[in-house]
Amino acid sequence: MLAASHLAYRYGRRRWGLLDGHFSVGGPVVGVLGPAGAGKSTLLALLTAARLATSGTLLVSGLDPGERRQRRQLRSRLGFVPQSLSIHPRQTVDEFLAYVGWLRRVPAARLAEAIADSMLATDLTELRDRPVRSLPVGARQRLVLAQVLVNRPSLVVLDEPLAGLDPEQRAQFLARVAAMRDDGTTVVLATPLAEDVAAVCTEVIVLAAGRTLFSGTTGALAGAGETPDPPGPGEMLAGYHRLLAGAGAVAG
Amino acid sequence: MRPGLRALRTELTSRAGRVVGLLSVAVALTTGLMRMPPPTGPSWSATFNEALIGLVGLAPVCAGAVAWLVQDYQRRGIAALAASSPRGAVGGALPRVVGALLWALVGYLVLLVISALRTTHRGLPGWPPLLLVLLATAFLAAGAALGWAVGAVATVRAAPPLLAVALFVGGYAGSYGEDWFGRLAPVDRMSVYRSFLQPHVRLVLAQVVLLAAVAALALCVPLAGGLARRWTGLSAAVVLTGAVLVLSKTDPDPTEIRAAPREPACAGGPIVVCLRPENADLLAPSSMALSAAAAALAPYLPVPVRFSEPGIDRRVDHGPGVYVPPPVAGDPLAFEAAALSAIVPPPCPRRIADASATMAYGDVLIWADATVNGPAGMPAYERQRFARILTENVSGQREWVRRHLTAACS
Repeated sequence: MLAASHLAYRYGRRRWGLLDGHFSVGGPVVGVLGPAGAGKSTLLALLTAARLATSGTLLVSGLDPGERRQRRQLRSRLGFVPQSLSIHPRQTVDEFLAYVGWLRRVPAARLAEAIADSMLATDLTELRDRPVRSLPVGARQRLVLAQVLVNRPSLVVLDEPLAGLDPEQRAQFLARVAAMRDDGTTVVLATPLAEDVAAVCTEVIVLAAGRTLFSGTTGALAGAGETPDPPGPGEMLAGYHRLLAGAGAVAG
Repeated sequence: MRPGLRALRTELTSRAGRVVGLLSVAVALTTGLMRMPPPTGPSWSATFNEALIGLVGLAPVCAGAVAWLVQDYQRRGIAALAASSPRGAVGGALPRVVGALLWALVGYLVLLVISALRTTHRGLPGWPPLLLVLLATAFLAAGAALGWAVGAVATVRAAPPLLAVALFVGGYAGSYGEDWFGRLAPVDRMSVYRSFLQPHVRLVLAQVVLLAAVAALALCVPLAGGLARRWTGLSAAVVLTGAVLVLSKTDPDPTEIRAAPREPACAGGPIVVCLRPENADLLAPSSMALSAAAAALAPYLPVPVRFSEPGIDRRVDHGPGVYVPPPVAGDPLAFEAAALSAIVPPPCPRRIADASATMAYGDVLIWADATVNGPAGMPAYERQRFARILTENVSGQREWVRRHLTAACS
């Protein structure tokens, strides 16, 4: 599902966000794990075709984001939650979802139905005319997920969506990610916490300082090559820390 | 409603949109009502120029608002969300930018209405004055594009107000500019659009091209990637071409004489006076002043028998018979001065700056005024100087006039 070879991205003239990335991972839930500044958001920007790679090759669900037609196809199949998405507090739930539907080029004839479905899936139907500022934190988080569902994507990319949530909200969010997985949607989840990866992910890409340290199953990461099945969260965390220590990076 | 229009409506009616709208209309009302209508007589060009001058305050508001909205778009992560969508980050910002631009256009409409209500012009405007509306739209669009560029790159919260202040200062200084600087500025306070004048068509078109190029150049900033670089090169070429066109190929005068109307309003009699249809109510006092002056001066110098506004018979604003209707109707002194200038125009195509030549022509005008209206109206200090010549016989005075007109062109 995600395959890269010699993938690199440079900001401006000198600063490399990603260097010589190599990975080949499948679904249904792929974790992108690494400390702050590891290059997770850069990789997600390349996966969502928001940015184009400086060099190397990348295939996302069999599509090359570097090629214009395939990039358009990829973007229309995507759902994306950017890091620290802050919806305007006076916008209503319905207005925001309509805007996202327009962004995703959902046909006008289908938009109302798509919005209703995404609200239904995230328990927001009752709140559709409420401004975002009046929503409880949990409902706001559900709205962030609802906007992902508006275009019924086959691939959902989540950039640190759990930051700032309390344990209960985290659990609810991860449960909804698991539900998406069960519906057949492929999910890419970027997080600095190995526990989140252990909770829902089947495969993982580990990044540090813009380099790919590891890609493969969570089991392989837990055993650092020994692949116990199924791995416990503690074992995976230990494997992750061993990798980072080897690369001289610090876990977030 | 189409989803795009719905997104635009949401932006227009959002709190930020309403603030931008309120500010635009308030600035337009303030600048529009503060300005005194120019005493130029009926002229659509003057009307549209007045509205254009009001953009010195409105365009910076538009640019600052767009910069603020784009900063907010980026800060909230909506830009990142849109960047992964088929519309891209630029397409996702369009409802905000277009919304702010529409509010600015509403403000411009307010300025237009205020100016139009004050004009005495009747009938529809021709296309050359409407070029000023095109210029105004291009000015606002360029301001919005600059705001978009600044909002996309500057994360500092002070950037939008700083941009607005910088644009205001630049626009204000440019509106008083002369020569190259003045020609580059889209707003011009120095030109007075009398009823026979219109904007210089080629100059305005070059300014529109220039503003379009500035807008394209600014839009290269949010449009990241290889395509943007190509746009930059293309825009730079267009800017340069436009600048060369403005600076080297165009007459420095920002106004030009209007083409002849299809049916001028004319008054017959011993002399014929022809004015533009919108000046028809000035025909009677014009004819009266011209007839009286022509009759009084006929013994001393050749007097034309046909007088017309610039552009009706000739596309010049000087020479015998070229009659410029006074801007304030009902002022007999203004009609007399206009009549004297049409009967005794400066003998050279352009008045020479030489002091003795200017004085010689001034003496002829004082003499002509005294001949038409009697010496009573002359200033006391001039009476003694002109007493001798005014008592000479006709041939003596004719010779005096000939000598002075020759000196006026030396």
